[in-house]
Amino acid sequence: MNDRLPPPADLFLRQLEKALWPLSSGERDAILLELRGHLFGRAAQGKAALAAAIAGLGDPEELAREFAVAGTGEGLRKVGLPGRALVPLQLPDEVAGHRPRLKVRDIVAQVNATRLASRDGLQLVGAAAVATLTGTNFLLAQTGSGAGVEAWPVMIVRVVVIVAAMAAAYRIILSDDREPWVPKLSTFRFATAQVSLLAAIIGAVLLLIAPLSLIGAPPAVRTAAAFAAVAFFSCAAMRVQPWLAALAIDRRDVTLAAAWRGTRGRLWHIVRGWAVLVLPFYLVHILLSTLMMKTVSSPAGQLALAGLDGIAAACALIAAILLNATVFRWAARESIPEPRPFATEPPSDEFVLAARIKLDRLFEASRLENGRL
Amino acid sequence: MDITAWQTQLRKGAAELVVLSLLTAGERYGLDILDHAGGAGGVLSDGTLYPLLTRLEREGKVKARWAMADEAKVPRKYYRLSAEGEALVAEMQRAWHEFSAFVTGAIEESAHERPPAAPSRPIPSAA
Repeated sequence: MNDRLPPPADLFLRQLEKALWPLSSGERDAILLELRGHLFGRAAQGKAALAAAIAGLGDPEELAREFAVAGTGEGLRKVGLPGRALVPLQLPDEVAGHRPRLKVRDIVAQVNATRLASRDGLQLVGAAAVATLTGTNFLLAQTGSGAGVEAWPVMIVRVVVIVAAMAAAYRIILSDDREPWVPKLSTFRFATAQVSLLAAIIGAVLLLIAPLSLIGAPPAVRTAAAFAAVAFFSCAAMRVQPWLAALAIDRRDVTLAAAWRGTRGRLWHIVRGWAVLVLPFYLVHILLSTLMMKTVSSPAGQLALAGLDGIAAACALIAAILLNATVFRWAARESIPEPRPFATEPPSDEFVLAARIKLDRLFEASRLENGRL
Repeated sequence: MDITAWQTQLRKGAAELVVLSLLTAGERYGLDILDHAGGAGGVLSDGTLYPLLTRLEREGKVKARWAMADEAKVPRKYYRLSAEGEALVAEMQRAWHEFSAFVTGAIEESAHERPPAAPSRPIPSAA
């Protein structure tokens, strides 16, 4: 059964979804779902009926204003009208389980929108990740060379800095926290949960492949089993990521259970997003790590490869965080925000005035030129 | 002379009565209401119906539930009159009949009777 709407109807609903920002996510979902059913009904009656229905619905912005006025107090307050005690339009659970099907380009577009809408500071996260990963990669390569470098302190530094950078990244992307790098209780909760999750995955994989070692299974079988186990538990971990993000930004409403429920039916979207956005960087990282350990022995060569590896691993990390932040919004039933109009500071009044004077002069010169012609 | 603004006000007032009246027959979803309204002389359109239903639900005049019909590809929201809505629509229908009878009577009477002619001479001022 084809459950995709024709492009004009799909476009209308996308425009309406953006315009419905004053409403709560529950109200927004209910309105979009009802109108989706309406447009499906008209589409079944033919192209002309669908076109008439879209025309009848009118301008998405105007329709959204009508809904905002007709809907709940939250919507009313955001359009500047006094809110009243109104009946919320929450979807029942069986309907809330309805999920739109997304193509890979839709997922990439949503992740990109998340990136564009985040506050400044991701560059610093990237720089911290590259520096840490490069330094620790290089030091780890020296552990067996008699340079007196122990692996475990290096790993501890690596984990602490990367987990702190991840918490800061979530706070930059998903919250208005002006001090994303300052450790808070939520940072420690996030760090504990993140490290516990990693430990649980590693432990579960080891438990699964231990019997294979005991019965003397060939290395190829053990490797394949380990990969399968890692893939299985990583997929499960992907559904937990919204909860980890919620811990980082201290959002209590997205619990572990809520994250699991909110990603129901969306694992395939997450896996495809991960395969397109994270996996390429991850593969480069594995390739460079292997090269560094097996083929290069000079410190200068190892440092160069450690740097390239650090960049690849940091890119994988940032891409994964942006994907997880997008999945958090799915689970929290929040819409993907519009890009912020100014990524840094808006232009100063003096700048705007000078630009306006310049434009006026250009316009005047153009008018005089046309007058002469 | 443009009477669009006046017609818009008339439609806004009548749309609520049309929707509530259609729901007296039983539970309906949005598309079903529109199809049964048959255009309703321009009173109801795709764009006016859904915000109106949202308002009626908020005001407690109608109740709604979601259900998955066999032939539907997405869930449908079905509306029915609440007890308050049932009492209200009966009152609104009675008021509408009285109102329309009065307006129709006034229009028909004006078509048959001419008003008395205005005086042709100007009234002298008190000064």
